[in-house]
Amino acid sequence: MVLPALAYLGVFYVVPFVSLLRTSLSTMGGSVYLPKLTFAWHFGNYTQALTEYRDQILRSFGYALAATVLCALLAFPLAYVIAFKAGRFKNLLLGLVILPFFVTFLIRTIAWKTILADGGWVVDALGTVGLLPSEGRLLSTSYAVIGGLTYNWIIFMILPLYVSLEKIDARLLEASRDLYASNRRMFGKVILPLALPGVLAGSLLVFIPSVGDFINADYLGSTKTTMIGNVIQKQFLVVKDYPVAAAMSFVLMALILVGVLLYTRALGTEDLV
Amino acid sequence: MTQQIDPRVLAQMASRRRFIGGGAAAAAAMILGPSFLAACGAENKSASGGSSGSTADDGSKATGKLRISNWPLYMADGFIAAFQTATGLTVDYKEDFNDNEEWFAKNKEPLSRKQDIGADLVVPTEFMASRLMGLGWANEISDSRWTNKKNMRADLLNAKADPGRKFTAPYMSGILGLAYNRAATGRTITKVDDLWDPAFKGKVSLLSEMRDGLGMVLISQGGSPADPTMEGIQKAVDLIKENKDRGQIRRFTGNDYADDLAAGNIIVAQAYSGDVVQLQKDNPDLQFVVPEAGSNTFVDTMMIPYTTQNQKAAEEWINYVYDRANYAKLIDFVNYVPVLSDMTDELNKINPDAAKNPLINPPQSTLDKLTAWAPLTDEQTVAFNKAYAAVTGA
Amino acid sequence: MSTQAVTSLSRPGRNFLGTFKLGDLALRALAGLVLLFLFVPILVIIVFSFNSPAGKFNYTWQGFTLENWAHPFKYPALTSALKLSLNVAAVSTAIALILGSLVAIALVRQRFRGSKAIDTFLVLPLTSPEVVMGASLLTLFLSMGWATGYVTILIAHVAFEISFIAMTVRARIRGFDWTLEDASMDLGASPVRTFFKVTLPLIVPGIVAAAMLSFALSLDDFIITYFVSGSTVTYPLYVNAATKAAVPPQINVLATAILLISLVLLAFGTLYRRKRIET
Repeated sequence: MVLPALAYLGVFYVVPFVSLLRTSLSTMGGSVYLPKLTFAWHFGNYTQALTEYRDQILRSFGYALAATVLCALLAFPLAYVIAFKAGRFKNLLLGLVILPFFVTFLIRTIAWKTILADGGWVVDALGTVGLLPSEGRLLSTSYAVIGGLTYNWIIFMILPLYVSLEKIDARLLEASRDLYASNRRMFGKVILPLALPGVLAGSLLVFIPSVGDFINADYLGSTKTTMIGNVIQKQFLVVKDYPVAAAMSFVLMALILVGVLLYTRALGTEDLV
Repeated sequence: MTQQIDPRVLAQMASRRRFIGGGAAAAAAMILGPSFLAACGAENKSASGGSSGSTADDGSKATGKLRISNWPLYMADGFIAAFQTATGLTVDYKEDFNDNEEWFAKNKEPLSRKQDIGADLVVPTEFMASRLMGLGWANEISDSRWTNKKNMRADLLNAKADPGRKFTAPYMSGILGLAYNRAATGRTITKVDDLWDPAFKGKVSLLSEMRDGLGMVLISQGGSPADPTMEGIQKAVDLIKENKDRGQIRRFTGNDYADDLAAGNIIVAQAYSGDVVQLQKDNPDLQFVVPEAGSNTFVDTMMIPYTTQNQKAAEEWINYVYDRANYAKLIDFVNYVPVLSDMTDELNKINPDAAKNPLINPPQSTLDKLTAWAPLTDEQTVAFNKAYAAVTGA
Repeated sequence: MSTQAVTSLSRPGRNFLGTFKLGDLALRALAGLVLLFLFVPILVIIVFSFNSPAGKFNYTWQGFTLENWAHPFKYPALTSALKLSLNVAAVSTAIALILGSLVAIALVRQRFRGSKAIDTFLVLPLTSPEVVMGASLLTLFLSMGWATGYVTILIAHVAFEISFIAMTVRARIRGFDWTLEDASMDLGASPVRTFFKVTLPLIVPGIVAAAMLSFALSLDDFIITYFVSGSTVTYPLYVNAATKAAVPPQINVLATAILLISLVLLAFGTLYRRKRIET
């Protein structure tokens, strides 16, 4: 049962992965346009990646973290309401939640540019209340980038969260009521722990793509909000320094893996998938 | 060609401006169209058939299918259909050419192995075309089929990149300049230094493509894209970095400065002339200026890869494009600067406003201020790209 | 497994209805706001599909027109890109669904040796930045001499979808009462019958959720597709190119159309289910 999927991934994921690893440890020779890569255990690529682009790495993790927390906070009420209070409209609501994501995210991001435009009413309104960031605008700030990341990936928090919440056995809640638990107690001791797998899955599904993202920083960011994804893209496609680009990719992946392992340890759920 | 205005183009104009009346024009076009095309077609055929060929080309008629890979929206409505009717060829037209470097990255492997890349004719920007020529991946364009070559602008005919234009046929050219919102700036913008005016802090954007971003800055500092040095480039990069660090520059953009300009997020931007023509239609406050010290121009060129499956058809296409009347239709839609000379008459027939627009039909004085980039060596390309990427990507 | 019962329970000695109401309202309001947040850009997109810009860009409101809706397929490149994307999404989801669900079921039901390792292995594609996956896949295809195009796009999409589907299905079916399967077989049903009559219906909701997610992911995918598409243009690739050249309102029109169709299908699905419950 497991074999087909494993075989597929083996060929189309592991093999390219390994060749990329080789590249990250190689040096580049030959002409610019038809480079020759020589495998040379060249760890210098990694040190270069880590030192030159430390800022972007830190920034990416910071933004992704912010986006994940924001997603969790926003998704929880919605998932909760759908799971517990929607009744017959449950599937309809779910469908509604998924609906926006059938529009390509590029178009949705461009729409945000229209909404958050410098002269638009959103910025004006926030300006009069005094809630604008220091640059005096919303676009081309880190807030816009984090907002964009949140918006892009929130669906991946809502769905797993809903799934976990929905599975909570009603009898458990009944029982806690029988034992005279207050709402808050019930939430903290019963609902939240049972929803954790969903939170975990959702967090991972939001955090990981956010760290490597470059589209949001591109469209909604400024020169000061570049993320590691932007750097990798530039290195691969413009500067064409494949060894360093590959090294950076692996640094990113390694950091993500470390973060993931720590997170799952902390939450105590050993079955992270 | 005939002196009449093509009704199909009229219909297109009407629909682009306001949809009122478009219906009637479209109906007229349907009735008058085919007969007009037939007249065009007859003339074309006689022109190409009558010329004497060079030894390489046997002069036989081109047949079959032509696959073109072009930039998005770089083509006028109905142009391809007209070409197909005129020549009897079928065209498989794809708009998948979005970025030179990225196209190259995707196609260099198959090209290096002489494997077909899915296109018989591509439209790279000149620097990319030079690179492809240098690698030996371009086919010569037969002069016997390209009889309209004489219509080319004189300044383009003997470019350093391809003297005599043996391998490349310029398709569209454009001017790099400064686009700005006159109402927002409160004054006219005239030089590159205006980009660094503290009054515009955080509302300025530069282009992320190295040649386009650095060209005018280099010139403003006394250098020249026709003869660039590492010191000159580094000096320009340093100036940009300085301004980026103090928050002057909001973003480095591809062509996507357009929406920021339209929305007012950006007040002064490095821009391409063709984009500004479009933006001006909806916002007359937007102005375009070629900096005092000069600026660079870009040329997108048609090129036949050596893996082409239909050389003759590709050459027919090039020749068809180089007919002034046909080309005028392209210009009217694409709104960039013609690569053919003396387009004023043909443009006047189709769209007098286009003929008068200095961004579409610039006067010689403007053209004189423009310099094209010299073809860069491998080392230069890498070094310059790296230097600029350090500012834009970091 | 619904928990509506909780809200209607009344317990002696506590004014549940009172305390519930206020917090309840706030909660629903909050949920509503989030839903609104999800839809704001969508509304903008729909509105701008009626825009009539004189130029090639659709960024500022110029005036209302139905022209764009009258000619939604004015740009053949856009239409064919959309068709291609829908096709790729459907086919790749179907393939990945089979592969991914099988893995998920196997992992949950049988704790065999190495299942932990497979767990981790399945997560790996999700931890890789798309740029990396795209670039490495392209290198693979080129070194094997495969022409990039429809097939390579399909392959790439299935590759990243398998992990998503496996994870989603797994989360959904974990905790199910698998003794039902044993019960079924005790009653004489063959394993195959059991699978189709007992197991499958139980996990169908999970599969449906996973399928929808996978379909949307595929439709939306930009970065990986970009690397392996060659000269084939999918819908997101077209949009990205368009932002650099010209953004015809037809992009908004088609996007809105997809939305409306999805909405209609959704409504049908809900009504159908409602009917089934009633009969």
